[in-house]
Amino acid sequence: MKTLGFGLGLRPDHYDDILSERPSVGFFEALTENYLVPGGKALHYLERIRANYPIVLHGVSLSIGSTEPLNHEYLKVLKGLSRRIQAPWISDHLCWTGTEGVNLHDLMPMPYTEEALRHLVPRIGEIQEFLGERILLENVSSYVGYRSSEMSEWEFLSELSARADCLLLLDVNNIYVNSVNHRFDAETFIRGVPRKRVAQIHLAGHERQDAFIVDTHDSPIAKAVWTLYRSACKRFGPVSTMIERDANIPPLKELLEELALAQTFTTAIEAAA
Amino acid sequence: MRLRELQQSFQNRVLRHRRGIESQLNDAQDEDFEPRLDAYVGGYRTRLIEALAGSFPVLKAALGDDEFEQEMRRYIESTDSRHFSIRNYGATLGERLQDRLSPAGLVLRELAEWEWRLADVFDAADDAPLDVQELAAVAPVLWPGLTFSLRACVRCFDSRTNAVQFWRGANGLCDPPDELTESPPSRWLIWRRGITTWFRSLAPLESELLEQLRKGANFGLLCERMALHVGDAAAPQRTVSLLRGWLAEEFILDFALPQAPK
Repeated sequence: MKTLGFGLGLRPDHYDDILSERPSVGFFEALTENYLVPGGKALHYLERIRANYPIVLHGVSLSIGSTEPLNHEYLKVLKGLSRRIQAPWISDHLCWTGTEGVNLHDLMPMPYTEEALRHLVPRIGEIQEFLGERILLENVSSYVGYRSSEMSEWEFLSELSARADCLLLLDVNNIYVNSVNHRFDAETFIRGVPRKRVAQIHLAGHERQDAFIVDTHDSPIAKAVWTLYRSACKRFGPVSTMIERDANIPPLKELLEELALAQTFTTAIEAAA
Repeated sequence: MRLRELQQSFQNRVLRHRRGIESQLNDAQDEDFEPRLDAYVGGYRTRLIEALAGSFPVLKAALGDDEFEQEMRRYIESTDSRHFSIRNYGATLGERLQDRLSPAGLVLRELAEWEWRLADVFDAADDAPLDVQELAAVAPVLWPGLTFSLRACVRCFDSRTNAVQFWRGANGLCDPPDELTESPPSRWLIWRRGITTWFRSLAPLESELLEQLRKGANFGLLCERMALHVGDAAAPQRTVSLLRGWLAEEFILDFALPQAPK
């Protein structure tokens, strides 16, 4: 997968600044569902920004892990949007978002079981065949774990990506969040993920509550996540990396400064090598 | 528990507060277990309330923050989201408000439906309005049989309250009315020019002819309708004048020439 460098989440608050200032970023990541509309302002800006930058698509409603049948209508419009903007890739989350026709609009965790793998692999295959490309699946933050899990999250990701021949979007913040919430060593997670499968990295902020962490995307990246990102850079080498901010969205300039900081990690590692 | 049952059980906990999933989860006896679970149960409601507040900002202002949240919570308990986009949640909110808050609910329903209609137009399909020059090239003899189609973004909104005026007031477009009340019936047209949403009221005659045009009446029939109001002599000129206005305002997508007799 081609490396696009360092990017940002595409947010309406920044549309005009992106067009007028043409910031030096490698790509933008658009939230798929915001652009699965017939027309209007969102698509207007998407097309204009696409003229200057590659835009990858990042969805929240694929519901790859749901025991419901795949939503083919969703897949059809997703494919249409991807073709329209020539998205370098499409990603979504390794989770389920609802069953019995309901959408909880949340990234519900999967149990790490052989049954779940057997369920997921053919679904990923069907989607990849329909889209004509490999998709990226992101590790999600979770606040509860299943007693039925038979393996660690990283073992599950490794096994899944190998069996389904899909790629991974590694969210370093989510690894950190889960390492606190489920009491495991985040560095072990990083070491446990196969190098060749990681095609994109996410960085984001979180909120610490009393005894656990919530993945909020509403604040700057935490120090512990930067530390983990350094390990990810060492293990995975140059991988397209972006910062996700979904609430308390600051001026574009602030996010660009944070992105420049991310860039220094890989630069330092490349120099050391 | 198999994957299907596990998901149904978890979803039942989130949507209906039904217990059962707890026995399938780790650390259910821990002190922080309920707050963790609430990241899903409460988070679901928080997200939908945020989405509804984004779709219905003036309704929220009309109800006030607390009442808005209470009403949205009631709505969420009664209505599951079934669309892949969270922005599509809330289509039936106006109807539910009217049922619950009758008789005052009518104005709230209209306010909600007005905001929903605006959002619908905002995202409607992009299409190019008909260029008046294309129409000018049509031979006069063909005009009586011409039919027209409206652009995908054109919507009507019928009102029996001052909800639209309230919305305009809330957005600084006019002096806000003192209260939301019933008012004489009115019809509004909402559409888009480029990416900007426009709306205006329709006079009864214009409303009638536009509705006829939408249903497929040809230019000749539109003139006949007009004649019922302004007389035969003035009808063609007045109909052309209306049509010219609709073209200038970018309501019209295209025209079709009359079918030649077989």
